[in-house]
Amino acid sequence: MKIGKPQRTYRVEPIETPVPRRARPSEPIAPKPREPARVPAR
Amino acid sequence: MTALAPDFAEPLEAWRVWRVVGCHGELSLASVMRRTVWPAGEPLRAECLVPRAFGWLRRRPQHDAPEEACDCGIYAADLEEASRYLYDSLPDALARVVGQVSLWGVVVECERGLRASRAYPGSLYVSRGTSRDPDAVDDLAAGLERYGVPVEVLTDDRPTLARLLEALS
Repeated sequence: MKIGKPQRTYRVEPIETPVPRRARPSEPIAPKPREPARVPAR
Repeated sequence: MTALAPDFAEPLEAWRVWRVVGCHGELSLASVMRRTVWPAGEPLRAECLVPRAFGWLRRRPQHDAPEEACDCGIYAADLEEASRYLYDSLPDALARVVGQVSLWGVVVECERGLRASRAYPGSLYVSRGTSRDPDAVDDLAAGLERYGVPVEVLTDDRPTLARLLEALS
C-alpha cells in the first residue's frame, strides 16, 4: 500500500485491547513426535 | 524518569484489504503484500520485514516497527485507498476481503495512511466479486467469524462497496 511520507508518530495506548473475547484462536500445532534414538546393536 | 502520556487512549481506526487463505484447516486473514498470517484472538505485532540492500555488510541493527525512517509497520488507510487492492488477482488466496482495522501501540501517520505496531481487525466485508468461488462466500464468512468481529457478506460487488463509501464519506 502506498501511503506516502511519514508526518507524525503517535503513542496509542488503549485502555482495553481491541481484541474481542469471543475470538477463537487457532489450535496450537502439536509438534511431531520424535523418533526414539537408535542405539547401535553391539 | 517520567513516562510520557500517550497521545490517544483509544485505538485508531482505518481500513485495509486482506487475503483469505486456508491455513491448518482454518480460514485465516493474511497480508496482501507479505506472507504474514493474522492470528485470531491476539493482536498482530509488527516487525520490520523490509529487505536491506547489502544489509549483511552494513550490519544495521534490527529496530522496533514501525520507524519513521523505514517503510515497516502494519499498513492501513481510508476505504478508498485500501480498496484499490481489493480487485487484484487471486493467485494464492481464496478471496480478498476489505474491513476496518484497529491500530495501536506506535502509529506513524503518513500522507495517505497509517503504519502501526499492533493491529486487529474490527469488521470484515466479504464480497462475491472478490472470491475465487462466489458460491462459497457464506462459508468463507462463517470461517472468518473466529476472529470475533462482525463479518458481513455484501450481496453485490462494486456497487455495494461504492454505497459503503458514500455512507462513510
